Amino acid sequence: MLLHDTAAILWYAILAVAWIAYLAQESYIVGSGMLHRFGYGQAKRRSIQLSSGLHYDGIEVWLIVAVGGTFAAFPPVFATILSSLYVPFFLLIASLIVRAVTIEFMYKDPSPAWRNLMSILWGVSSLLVPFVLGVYFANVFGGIAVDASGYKGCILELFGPVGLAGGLFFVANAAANGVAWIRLTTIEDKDGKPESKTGAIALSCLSLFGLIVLFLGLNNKTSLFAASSLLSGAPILWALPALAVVAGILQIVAFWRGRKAYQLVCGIASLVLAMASLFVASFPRMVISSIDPKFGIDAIAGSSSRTTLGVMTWVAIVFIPIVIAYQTWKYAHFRKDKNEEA
Amino acid sequence: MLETLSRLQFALTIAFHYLFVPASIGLIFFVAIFETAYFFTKKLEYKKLSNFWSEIFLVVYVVGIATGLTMPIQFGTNWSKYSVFMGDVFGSPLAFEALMAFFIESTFAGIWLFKRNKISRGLRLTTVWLITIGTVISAVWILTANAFMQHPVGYELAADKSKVLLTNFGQLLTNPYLIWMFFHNHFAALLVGAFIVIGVSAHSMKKAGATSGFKKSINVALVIGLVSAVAAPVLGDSYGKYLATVQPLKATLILGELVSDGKGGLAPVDATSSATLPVDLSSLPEIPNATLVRSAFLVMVVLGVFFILAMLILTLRRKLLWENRFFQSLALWLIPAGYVAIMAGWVVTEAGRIPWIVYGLMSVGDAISNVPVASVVFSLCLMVALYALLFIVALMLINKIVRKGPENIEEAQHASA
Repeated sequence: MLLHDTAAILWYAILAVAWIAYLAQESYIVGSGMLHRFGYGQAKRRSIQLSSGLHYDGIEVWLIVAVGGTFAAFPPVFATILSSLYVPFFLLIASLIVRAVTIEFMYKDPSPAWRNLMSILWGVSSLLVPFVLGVYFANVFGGIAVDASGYKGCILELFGPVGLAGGLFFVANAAANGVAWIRLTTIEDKDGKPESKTGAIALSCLSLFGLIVLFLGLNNKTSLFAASSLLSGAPILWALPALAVVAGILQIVAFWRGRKAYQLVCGIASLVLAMASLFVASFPRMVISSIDPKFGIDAIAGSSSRTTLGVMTWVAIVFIPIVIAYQTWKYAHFRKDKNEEA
Repeated sequence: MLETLSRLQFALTIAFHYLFVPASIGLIFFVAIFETAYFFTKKLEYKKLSNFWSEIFLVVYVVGIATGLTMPIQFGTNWSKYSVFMGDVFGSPLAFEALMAFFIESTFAGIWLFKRNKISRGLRLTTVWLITIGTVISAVWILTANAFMQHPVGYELAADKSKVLLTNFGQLLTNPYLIWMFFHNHFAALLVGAFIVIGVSAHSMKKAGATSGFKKSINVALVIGLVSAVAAPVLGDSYGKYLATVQPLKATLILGELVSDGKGGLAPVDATSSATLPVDLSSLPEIPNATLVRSAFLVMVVLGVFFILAMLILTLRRKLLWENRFFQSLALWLIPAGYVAIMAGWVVTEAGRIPWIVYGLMSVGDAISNVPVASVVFSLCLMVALYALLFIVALMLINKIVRKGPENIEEAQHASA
């Protein structure tokens, strides 16, 4: 049993890493999608589409790994969460489908009407993806209304203050990171408006505000931090939520002082540390029931057999480093490329 | 009501997704062939052909991956009881498909779609072949999962029978059902790819004349088409013989007919096969639709024979495609015909195992999520509306690419700057 439990805990960690790898990279991709219409000239828009289009598809697979990995390693968790949050998941899929199609097909027809339509849909879907994800995580960590017979809540409950704080944090963080990503990876804008410094600072302030409300709201609602066994066992882990807030503050400073690379790094760090805090604080609970804790599912009870976890662990040990290697190579190879038209 | 809607949604979303899968598998193989020719000969003509078929591949691939996302999510949203029962065995092939195939395909497809005209010949070749290999690995893993549902191996039931537990991963991978299904299915996908190349090229020749690029495309497609047209049914025949040993009911449905047994149930007409039936039909929660399975099988077989003849005639008399306007128009119809055959094949496979979602272990009705009917109505409407739009957009864009032709595809890309 010891080996089985260790493998289950390892998979809890692997899935947290997959989610974080997805969310961190998705933030600047959807962020640039949300903002590409505002104030940028045509050539710059094309450049944004090229720089984000190059990477979005490979990034999205981290989401599939996180979802598929939950299916494989924790089947009851997968079944309970997806069937409970049915509507949000379909909204997420629909947004991701629209985003994929618009980002790829925007320049496949020269007519201005087509490009404008695709551009609007790209912007709207890029806004919806982080919003739904933010609401989703706020509710998963805050607890969902499940009992022994299934989900008992209603869709509107998901959009309570904590859910909205999660949505705000994800959207504002993505937008702020998007500004930084656009500055780093695209051509100089010759025919757009000059970039607004205050706009970028406002976005990073909103992100920080959303993050703090989310942390406080989750702790208030379910004592997520206060009751966490990991945090009380190893107080050093309190550094994670603290540093998430610090990184949020540093992003504001970086925008203030115009330090491009720091703007992106601090924004990503804030999101990564925030998600790491939440995964640590809720461990080992994977389904948290807001009706009664006894209806929740934890990582040990909800895990697959030792055989399955064993095979999966070996595959992960071999393939995750390979994937990280070639995706890193891809970033490095096209780093200097400012994504001008071919 | 809930069961009907959940089944309808899964059938529609998987069928729509599968319109784009064989075309992606088939087309990227053609791209890889022309890219290899370009790498070794440095002839610009091959680069243009590779780019032209890539443009069509792009549209198909993007819609394919976008609609593919719906599939794993649906196991949790609509088939949660199935997920709990099967997760231990079924989840890992899906996770491995993402780790081993989707990452390669998506990472390098991004490079191919956005940067192919800015990278070296060597990197172009590597990129295309990695995507091609990715499509093969992807097919192996998803069919591993499906093969288990058709013929469970390497598992045991949990003590309380609440779920299946994996006992032998090697058996999962060497499931004979997987091997038959993979080859039969992959040749069918290559055949559809060949039909797309032949159909589009012949159709374009009507206007542009028999250009060298389209002739070369058809020459390659006829080789792959002929081999696949022969291989798919030949393998299919052995697959069918194997099927009779593990899924006697499906085999009976294909070959025989079901009649009333006089006791309120149904029995196969053919007395010899009734002896091998492992189950009393009247005990099943749902009787499979014999007419549907049989007619789908018939459609597949008739089309399969027609495809062999068509490929033979066109290979021997390819001038018909260069000059004869009637044959040029007719060739375009190979594409929908190929799809009808593939869909008919899947109807035999999936409708033929009713009532089982996991053969002999779990029935379809026991597998669905207990969600509000309104939720499923919402998701079904959302997906149907979205997919209808996607279908129109995809056809429109492919039509535009075809009208440009290989000669203008590169200039068009520059012009859109």
